[in-house]
Amino acid sequence: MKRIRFEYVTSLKLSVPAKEHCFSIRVLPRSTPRQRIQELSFSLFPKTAVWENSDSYGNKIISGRYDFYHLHFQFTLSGTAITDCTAIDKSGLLDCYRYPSRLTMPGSEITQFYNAIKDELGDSPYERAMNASARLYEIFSYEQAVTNVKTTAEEAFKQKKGVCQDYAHIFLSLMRLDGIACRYAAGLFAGEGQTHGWAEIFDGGWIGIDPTNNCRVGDDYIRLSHGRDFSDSAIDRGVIYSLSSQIQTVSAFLTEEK
Amino acid sequence: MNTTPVANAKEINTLMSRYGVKFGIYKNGTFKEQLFPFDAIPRVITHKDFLKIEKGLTQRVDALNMFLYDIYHDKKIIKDGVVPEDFIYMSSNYMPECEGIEPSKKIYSHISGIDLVEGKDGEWYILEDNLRIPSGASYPLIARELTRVASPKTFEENSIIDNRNYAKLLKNAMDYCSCGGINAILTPGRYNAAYFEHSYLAERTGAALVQSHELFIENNILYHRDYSGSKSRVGTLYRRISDDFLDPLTFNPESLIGIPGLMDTYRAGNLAIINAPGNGVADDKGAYYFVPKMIKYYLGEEPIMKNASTYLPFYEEDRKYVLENIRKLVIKDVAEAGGYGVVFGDRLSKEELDKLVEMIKLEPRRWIAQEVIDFKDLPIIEDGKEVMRKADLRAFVISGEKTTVWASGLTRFTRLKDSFVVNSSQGGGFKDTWVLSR
Repeated sequence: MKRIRFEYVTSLKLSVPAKEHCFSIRVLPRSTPRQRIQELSFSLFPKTAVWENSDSYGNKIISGRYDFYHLHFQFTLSGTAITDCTAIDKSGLLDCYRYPSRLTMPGSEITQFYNAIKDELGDSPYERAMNASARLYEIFSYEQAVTNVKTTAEEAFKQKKGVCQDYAHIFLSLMRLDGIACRYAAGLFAGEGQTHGWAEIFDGGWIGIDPTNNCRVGDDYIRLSHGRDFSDSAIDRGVIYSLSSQIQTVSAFLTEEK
Repeated sequence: MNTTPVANAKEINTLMSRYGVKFGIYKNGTFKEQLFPFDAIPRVITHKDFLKIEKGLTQRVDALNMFLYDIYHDKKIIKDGVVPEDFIYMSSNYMPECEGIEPSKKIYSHISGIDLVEGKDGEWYILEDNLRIPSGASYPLIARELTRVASPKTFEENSIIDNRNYAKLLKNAMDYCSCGGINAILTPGRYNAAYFEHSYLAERTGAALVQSHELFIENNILYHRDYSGSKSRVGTLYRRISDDFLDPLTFNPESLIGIPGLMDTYRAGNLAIINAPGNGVADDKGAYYFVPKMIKYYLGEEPIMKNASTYLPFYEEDRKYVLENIRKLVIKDVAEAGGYGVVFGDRLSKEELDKLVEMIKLEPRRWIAQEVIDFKDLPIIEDGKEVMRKADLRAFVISGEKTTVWASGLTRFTRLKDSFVVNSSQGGGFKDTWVLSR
């Protein structure tokens, strides 16, 4: 159990002012037995009317719209949470977590890989998950800028390199081939300046597995959103009707408070 | 039967072209708009046949609506083992984004287009349910209207049920489901295949014909801003764009014809969407097989209308039958709409057949196979002569306060002699459909 302080800022700079801009932000973390949220604040710049929604997976959504010209868009989340990765959370299990989504659809190469390792993974879903993560970790390497947000698990697997999102997608694809219910988690992780992506499998309750680091998720992770894959869990989605180009910067900060 | 409209066929077609009764076709990447050829010999449905169709389709659409509610909520039909869960969750038409949403009045399919054919045995068979954006009701509507102008006597001399109530039925359903505000028909615009229909139905129902750039969401409420700049709340949105393009913040982020945040407004219960998003899970070719089972399961009744005999290669026994009899079957790709993924086993070359067999073995869930129904040909006029052609019937069922089968429908026929595919996006023509009142 840890007391965690976290902060997350996304900032978008536009090359020319834009007027029509709608956004949908999945950044407010749910309080669960595994991360009890103590303090939470959210702010938006420039200010505009926002409204709250939720989605099928149980994420909170902050929705809003600008109808005046702006050059800059920024939101900031900060808070504290008591984390306990051993606590049992059974909520939010959906049948669709056992089936591939568009980004986690296995192709022939992932299927072949799965067939090659499936007999040696162990018994319980947790054991199978940890072993699958280890096998993936052996053959896949971390490399930035070789994949993007649209890259599917199969595409990333073919080139054997990618980032956390690709590790998570391939891992989810393997778990679903194995009939294990699992979901994508987007959030913050100690030591990262960016958001992080990992997976959660269901074995009597949700257990976090971080395939990028080949480990079980500990107390220094804060989950902001979740879903079948990255696209369900995207922390911010926006539509800007303008010809301006954009530069997005993200900063994330997570530390233990003693 | 008096067929005086035939004598006036030329005039009616001229009027139709003047009114812009067109259908757009995308072929080889280019958009071509053409008149939807009208054949003046009507299809006539006897009163007795219609009574059965009416009962059968009401039952079918009620069960389909119950199925959709169940799938996006409790999933009892899966838990009770009637529909295997693979058919739901492996379907690209199942949309988890719709889980737990309470659509206004619990109706998902407000406008159902059910495709039927009349067999040579005199039985009507259901070929396909269209619960997403079934189009076509406007064509028999305007055909009837223009035929009345060209040949008023026909309707005095024959006991034909007036079909002009379609707009009223549609308006009533929009009003009944409305979450408060105006009714609007959302069109992707002028270059959509069915643009004529969008504008015609808007005019007939009094709904606003709108495009996405005139719509916006504020505090979870959908508004329409008109040319004068004043805004009105939208209570029912009859959208004529597909789910994937409906909301770039939820679905395809590149959609320019959708409304950002629409799904949240819908989930919040502030808007009725006609037809509801997610309906594809009940009308894909894989779900079709299970509709008779749904009727028994939800209504405790025997299905009144028959499906064509269908096999699911997903089941081993069916797969064996399909692979052994593939030459006499029609094979359909579950994932595709619009008649492009329909092949007749007996028309394939050896290589094509081998390839299909391989694909069925590899992805059995993707296919269904059906016995070819020997359906009745209907007469059409071609070069001044009467010839026989394959035809189907798209019946329209409107679900509002109650479920009503429209006493008309779109009869489509193939213009090519040996073709079985009557889909209008493949260049067929249409007829008016007369339902006799006695």
